[in-house]
Amino acid sequence: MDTSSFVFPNDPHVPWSIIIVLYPYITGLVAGAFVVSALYHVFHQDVLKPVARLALVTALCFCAFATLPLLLHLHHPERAFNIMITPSATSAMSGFGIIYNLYMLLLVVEVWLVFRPDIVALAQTTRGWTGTVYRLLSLGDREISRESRAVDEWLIRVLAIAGIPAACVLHGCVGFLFGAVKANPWWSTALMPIIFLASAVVSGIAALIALYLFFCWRRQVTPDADCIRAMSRYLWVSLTIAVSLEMLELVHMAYESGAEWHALSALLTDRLAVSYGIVQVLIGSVCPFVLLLLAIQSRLNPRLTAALSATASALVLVQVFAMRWNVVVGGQMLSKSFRGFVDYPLHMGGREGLIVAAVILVLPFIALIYVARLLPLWESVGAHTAGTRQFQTVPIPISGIIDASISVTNHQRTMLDEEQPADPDAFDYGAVVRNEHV
Amino acid sequence: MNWRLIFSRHTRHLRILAFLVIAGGAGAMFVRSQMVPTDYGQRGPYRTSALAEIASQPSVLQSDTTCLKCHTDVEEERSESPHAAVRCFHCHGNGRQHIADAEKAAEFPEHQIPEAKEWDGYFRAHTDLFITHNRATCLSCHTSVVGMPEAFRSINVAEHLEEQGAEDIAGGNVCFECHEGHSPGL
Repeated sequence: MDTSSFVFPNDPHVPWSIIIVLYPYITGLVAGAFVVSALYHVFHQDVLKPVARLALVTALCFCAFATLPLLLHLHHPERAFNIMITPSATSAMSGFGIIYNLYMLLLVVEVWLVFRPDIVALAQTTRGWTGTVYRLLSLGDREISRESRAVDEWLIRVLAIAGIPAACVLHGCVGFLFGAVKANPWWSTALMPIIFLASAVVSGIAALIALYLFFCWRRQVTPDADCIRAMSRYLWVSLTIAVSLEMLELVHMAYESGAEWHALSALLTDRLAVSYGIVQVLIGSVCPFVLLLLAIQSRLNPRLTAALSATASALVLVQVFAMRWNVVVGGQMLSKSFRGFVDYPLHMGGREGLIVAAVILVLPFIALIYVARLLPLWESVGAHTAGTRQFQTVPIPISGIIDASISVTNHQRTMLDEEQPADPDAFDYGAVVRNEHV
Repeated sequence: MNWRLIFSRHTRHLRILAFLVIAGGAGAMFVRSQMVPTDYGQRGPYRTSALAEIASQPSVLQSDTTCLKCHTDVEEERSESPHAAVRCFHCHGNGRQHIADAEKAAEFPEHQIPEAKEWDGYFRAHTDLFITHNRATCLSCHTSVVGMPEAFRSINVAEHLEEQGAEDIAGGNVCFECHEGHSPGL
């Protein structure tokens, strides 16, 4: 072969930077958080009740920022709308745009239905700008009857059921975007959407464990040990599946030893030696695997369970980020001629630097903290109190028109019985809800 | 669930929500209908007029033929060199302004052509025309990498500099102790 006309490496730089690494990372957190929410709403995993609302709101907050990295990466962000204004049937990105919008709509409606009793109650008891927000969110209808809640509950379940395939397709589509690049052997595998999906579930559960423990710490309440243990169990299972799939793909490539393997093996042992071998596999997969195995032991002290789960979750979140990094950046380090590697210098500043990436990653958390102030994420303070996991439903009349049902513990019920004014119309439901705010 | 509830007075909020969703969807469809270009989709998923627009834009990359009209000495230097395949813009940038200046100077001899700047070390440099003696330019092609054909001159930098007895091993311009850019004498 005459090679005199080649110039190496033939890929001058890595165009998809750390910003694009964040795109599948944030989208994955959305899908994973929604799966946890669906486990409660669809599969009646009542042990996940303490995090059911948090899971849904987390999914919404992260979903709101999922496309921000893509918009910032584009030199013309306004062109992003072209994929929906003039959609192409053969464009995977166009498909993602449509699925993303439908999924966002589904999430907004489900969150609205779940929080509607609280929104209506707060709309009547809160003044000022916040009250105006609640009144707008209530859409002018303040009926919270048993009948309306029955329909809402049914609709929430329908949306949760529809949301499971939607979440799978949403993140599967992200994996498909990479898996469909046939010129890149590190990406081009039919397993890519499934691997992305599995790691999405992993990251979502890990993020929820971390967020739940963080909010419990901020609210000065004891985390629900059963809930933590159950989530750790789900995390362990999903981590096992995700890592197995990742390893299977690698072993398959190595066993096949195709023309591209010599370049891929060099990529893994050279450029990705630390981010893959040490961070993704050793620190991010093996360590949490062992920690979670310990955390799910029922005879373990709850505080130790929480500490182990928190550590494992943090490591898993690092693992998933490393996995996204190794796929997105690693795949571009490989020259498309399989001759040589491209360097990716990670800069602090600049439009696609580390600082911008950190800001993008922090934005959903800021949104979550604000939403947590606006909406009551914790249905009952008692749910997080050690030894009081029994719930019972108490109907509370509000302003003569609301027949809301909220779950309170025996302890709270006693408090309500003692503190409730003689005139039931004067009872401040909003205050009860606000007490549970972060 | 009692299905009659869906159409009862208890689900007024859902009817308001449905109205908002449908109104939003209809609004989005209307906006879209106004934004689709008239000549979109006639020949594929693009505007037909885009072809003519793109064709009328000036070329960003200059061909070597344009450069070598003036730099005939470089053409001679490179003709027998392994760097004959390397294009001018690989080491000197696009040079659009430089060529515009050269064309202007041809017409008005008093017009001064600015001197080329030294490369700033950034591979995506936006400098119009630059010269470089930085080893990074050379090593972007000549670092030994997996899968490179044997005939291609690739080196392990540290070993190569030691073998050849380079004076300034850490220096940026070390390659030019022995090699020339246009005719490296490999």
